[in-house]
Amino acid sequence: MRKLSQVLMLTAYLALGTFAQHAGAESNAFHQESKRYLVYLGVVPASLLKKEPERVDRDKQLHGGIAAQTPAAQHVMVTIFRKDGNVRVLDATVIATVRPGKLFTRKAEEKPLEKMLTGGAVAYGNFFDMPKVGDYRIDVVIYDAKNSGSESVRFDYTK
Amino acid sequence: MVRKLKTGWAGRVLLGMALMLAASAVAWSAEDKTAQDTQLLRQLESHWQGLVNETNPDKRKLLVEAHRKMMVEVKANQPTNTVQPMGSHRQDGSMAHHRQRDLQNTAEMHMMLLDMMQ
Repeated sequence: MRKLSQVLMLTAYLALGTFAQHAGAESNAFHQESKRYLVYLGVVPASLLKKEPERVDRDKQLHGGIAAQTPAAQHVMVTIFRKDGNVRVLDATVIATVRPGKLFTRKAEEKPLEKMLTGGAVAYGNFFDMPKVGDYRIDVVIYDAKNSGSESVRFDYTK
Repeated sequence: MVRKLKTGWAGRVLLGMALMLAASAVAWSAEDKTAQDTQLLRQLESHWQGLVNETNPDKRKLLVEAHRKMMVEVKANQPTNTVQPMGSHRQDGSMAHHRQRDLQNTAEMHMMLLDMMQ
């Protein structure tokens, strides 16, 4: 009898956990913060982009341009601000890892987010294949020239 | 003399009550603004997600226009001075400031994305 109640408790706990995870997955968080930075995320299908993302050095298209992208490509972009004074970070090296689902076992795609100019402002972006509808985990690591070491933030994104 | 003392005491009580009311009104106003900004931020993000996932180009065009209007509203509602005022270290004031900042930075991000979609 005691074992049965323990099994029932465990089942209820697992069911509740699964529900909570699912409920959480439905809401995207488009801004995260680390110790020193505020990071804002924007994800747009490459097929919706009309204007080529312009690199800051203006001598090259961002990763071959929009035409070279697969139908599943999404443009992942972040803007970064220093918490102190909400000042935009202009000179960071930013690496993003995008993986489907929330499990570490799934295949991840890691790329630098290149410094780019959009509407006169600096952001960091690149194209990632996100073929399936569902949950993605986007990890962003920031190396700022003005500080040693790195800081990272994680976004749970539902396509 | 007694009457004067009583009036003075009553006056002080009234003044104290008035100050307390004013302080709670300011706190309520800051809380209200934070709640408004939080709601606006959620609306902005949710509307953006709907826009990006819309497959019908005509409907998407309408959503883009609606989103632009939302961002104009956000900009109009933001204070021109975004520097945190002195004495706003209180939890509610700080929270309001953070929400405003997130709203402003999110709207700016959406402007950049729309610029690329034009």
